[in-house]
Amino acid sequence: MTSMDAIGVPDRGQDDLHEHLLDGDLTIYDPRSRRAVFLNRTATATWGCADGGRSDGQIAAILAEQFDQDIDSITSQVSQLLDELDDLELLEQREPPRRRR
Amino acid sequence: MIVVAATEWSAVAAEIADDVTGRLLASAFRSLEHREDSQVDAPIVARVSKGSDGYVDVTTAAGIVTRSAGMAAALDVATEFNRELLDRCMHFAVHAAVLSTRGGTLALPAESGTGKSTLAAACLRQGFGYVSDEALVVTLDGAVLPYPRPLALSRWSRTAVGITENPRSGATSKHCVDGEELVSPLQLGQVVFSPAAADVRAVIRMRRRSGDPLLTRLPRSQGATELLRNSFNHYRDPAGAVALVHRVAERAESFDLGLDDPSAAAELLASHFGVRESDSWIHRPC
Repeated sequence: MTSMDAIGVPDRGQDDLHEHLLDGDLTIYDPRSRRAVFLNRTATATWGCADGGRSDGQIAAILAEQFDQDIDSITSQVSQLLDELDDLELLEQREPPRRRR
Repeated sequence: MIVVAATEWSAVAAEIADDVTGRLLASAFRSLEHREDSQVDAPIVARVSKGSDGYVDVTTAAGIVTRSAGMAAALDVATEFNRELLDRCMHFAVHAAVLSTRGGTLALPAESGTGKSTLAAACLRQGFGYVSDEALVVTLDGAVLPYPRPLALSRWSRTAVGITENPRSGATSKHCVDGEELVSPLQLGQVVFSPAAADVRAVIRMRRRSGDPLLTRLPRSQGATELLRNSFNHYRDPAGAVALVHRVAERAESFDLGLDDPSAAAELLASHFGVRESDSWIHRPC
């Protein structure tokens, strides 16, 4: 399963992100970019950790413990996901530590 | 000159010229159910005129929308009405086959050409109630509105669902263009005309799979994704659409249906979900 799936939704709108959590998976609708972004469980956890106070490595360490994974195997995946969220302009800061809008 | 007026969720031939095209159009629109309770607020009107070159122009308020010959003109009118009706629909709508079961409604969102109509026909023959083979229309509180219409089935589809080619059997209509035949759902099984059918019980993603059909559970968020991905009017209120698909998906289960043989898939769905029980809102074939 891919960690993220984005669907374009044309609109003019507000700046606030709309979040819908269902069975651990999160949908974020961004009125500014007119996109709905679907995050699976691990991507949702990553999103939740991006509070502006943690580096990519620190987020990877938290997720490694939470999902019982080897940190070396997930660090690059976490950074890649955060880069994708950056590209979708869902993060406020493009450099770590990154924070949700 | 032929004028055909469509009202919400129904279509009626208002005036039919006495020529071949007129008879074909009248035949085509007889396949559509006329709803006595329809509101004729702003009927859609298409004017059909035959030029000296033998071709038929179908004209709406938007101008000439198609130029075609014979029965194709009737289908073009129906297609145009369908597009216009769905465009006017103020409820959230998704490209989907929609079937009624004992415990609620099944929604199978999918793009055109993925076999929605064929699977719907097969399910009708299994005893499911027909709600639509085109659109899942959902009110804000999640209730499903019926959108019945004739099913356009290719020869392969008719064979796959076991519809006989014998015209005396009464199993099929006689409207045929490019190998596709318009089949009234009433000729295949039960049609649900309830003003608000039961809530969506399951969202089922369809995909091709060789061999026996396979039904596997998906995360409910995937059901929400499929509904939004196949919606065609979410742009009117995108934030509301995202919220609505989650409300629908939250109350439903989500599945992946791998299928090759539509009849086998319909049998699998019937064994898993059970078929429709009778109620006063169902029309049955005579």
